[in-house]
Amino acid sequence: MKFINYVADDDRPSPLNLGIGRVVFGLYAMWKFGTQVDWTTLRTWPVRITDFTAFLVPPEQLQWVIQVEFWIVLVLLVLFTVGYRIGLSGFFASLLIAHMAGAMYTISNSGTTETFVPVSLLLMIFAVYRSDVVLSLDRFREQRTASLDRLTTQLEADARQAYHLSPLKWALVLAGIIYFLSGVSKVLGGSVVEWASAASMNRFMQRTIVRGYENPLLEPLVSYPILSDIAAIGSIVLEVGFLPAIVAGLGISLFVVGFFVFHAAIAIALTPFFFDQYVLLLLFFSWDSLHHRLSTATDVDVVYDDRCHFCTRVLLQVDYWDLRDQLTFHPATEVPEGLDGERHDFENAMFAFVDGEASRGYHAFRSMFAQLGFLRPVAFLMGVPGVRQVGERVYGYVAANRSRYFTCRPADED
Amino acid sequence: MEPVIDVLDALGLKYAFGFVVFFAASAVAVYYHDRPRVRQGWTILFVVMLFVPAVVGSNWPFLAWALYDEPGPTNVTHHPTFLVESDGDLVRLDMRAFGHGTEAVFRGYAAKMANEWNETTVRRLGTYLVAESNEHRSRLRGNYDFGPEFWVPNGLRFPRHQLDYRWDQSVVTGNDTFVAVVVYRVDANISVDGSSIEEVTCTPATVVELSRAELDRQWRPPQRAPFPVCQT
Repeated sequence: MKFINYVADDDRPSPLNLGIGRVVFGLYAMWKFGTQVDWTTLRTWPVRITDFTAFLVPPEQLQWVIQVEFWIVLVLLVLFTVGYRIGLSGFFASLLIAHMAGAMYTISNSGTTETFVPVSLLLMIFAVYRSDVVLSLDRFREQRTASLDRLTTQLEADARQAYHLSPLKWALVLAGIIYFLSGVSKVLGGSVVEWASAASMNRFMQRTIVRGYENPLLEPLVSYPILSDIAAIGSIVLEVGFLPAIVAGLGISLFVVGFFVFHAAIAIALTPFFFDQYVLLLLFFSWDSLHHRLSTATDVDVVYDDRCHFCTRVLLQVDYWDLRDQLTFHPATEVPEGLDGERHDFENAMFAFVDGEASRGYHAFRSMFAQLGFLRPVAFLMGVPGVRQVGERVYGYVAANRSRYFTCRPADED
Repeated sequence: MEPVIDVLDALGLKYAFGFVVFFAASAVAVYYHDRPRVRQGWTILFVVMLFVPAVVGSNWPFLAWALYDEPGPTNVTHHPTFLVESDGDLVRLDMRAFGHGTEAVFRGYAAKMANEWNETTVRRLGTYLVAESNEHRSRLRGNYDFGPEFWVPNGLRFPRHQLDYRWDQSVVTGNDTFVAVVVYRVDANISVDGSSIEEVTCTPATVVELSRAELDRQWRPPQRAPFPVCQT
């Protein structure tokens, strides 16, 4: 498992990590926000336990605002996840979540509420650094104004460009600070030597028993103090060392795997308290390396309509996933000899050639996806009866009407 | 900067100020996102605001995360809370009755009910707990509980865990009514090496009765709570 230190270098040969990271985080944010808290409790719970965020609680007659905000946030999170107006959707989702969670904190100061803080901050990081987000509806829309020549040049270029993934860099700094503050509070909070002892760790375990819970790790930890020592010292080293390692540009994989193990141990001992941290840390996983490994070694020659602006933009989205440089795009106006131009109607549909075998239109997309790591399941789904028929019809309609509905350059302009 | 924070603190506006400054600065940064200097400025503010709460010792949620920062305790106090049925039986709270996810939420409330709050506040919360628990039990009995449990599909729920206690069928189908709530105080001494729990005392700390008429006048909370560590 490889995790990337984006502070050391936030350039990657593809925008995949940021695209996948945004979608994973967006889905998690929707799930957490939509299912983990009953926001109506704010209207009914009679007593506050903390007051310092009370300024965020709407007055009695405006309590309905929270319910309205709930639905607005859900819509904003959907837009954010698909990458539509990330600036606006990210900013307002961040603001409204901070408002709601802050108000909720007055009656529920548990980890469930607290973990909305990094959710809100991450949304804001994406909103501020959105110009780095390539795999998104925003970028697809922006390409409307790009010249066709620029798009075709980009599509047919052999050289792979570098993509800045700044949102992941600052998300990593955020994760590092969160762990660092927790670790430093242990160092400064009392005797760190005592904290990092087996006896202290065992007393934490016994406390769970006092609170009425079963703890399957208690017995092994008490019986083998070396395990408690490892757990205690390991916690301090991981928490305090993570941020310096990030800033120094060192590898972070060991730290992240260490956090995974420690959070899993806590989940076994009591409850999956730190589930949210898994999602946060997964943002730094090397998705592109895994995608690369899952891709086939097969080359694909694609013949496309280079006079169609819309078609070129769509193919650019596919090209972002081509990390092994398997796809070679040929303009329909200059088909290489080997691709047998006379047998195929390149004017009317896109073609993909894999090992000399041609596939047309919708199936050309399937052929491309079937070679590209994470898109291989999509290729499979596209072949499922029902999906295939619908897909063929949609492709046929778009291809037949591409000059009518989508921006295309007339042939006589060339 | 410190005097300003002191003044804001005195006015109770410190956190409001921090909230407004951060989101106002963020609005500017989002609008001018294509200007590197604006992004840079926002990032500096972002990092500073992550560190400041920790440095000034504020209890800002999550970021001044002093969780488990003291060595494991040798003395632990816990406040298990029970509903009382009119026949005197004690039933553990099911937090779904109030829309809260886990028992961890209630830990602070129970401690304040037992030790800190005045009678009016304790009564207000206690009355609410009893009334909502009765309502929740009726909904479960009648199968018309339309809370998150109803509309969130099983696969999307957080995995069940120990802090996620729920009433079983015997509680749901019980014919009795909740008429009071009792908060116990459990004090436990843990051995210095953490190998054992040495001494436990369990005593009732607070009782809130919804209706004395419905509860046997002779009823007194059991001296030992029906709680695992109190039974050993």
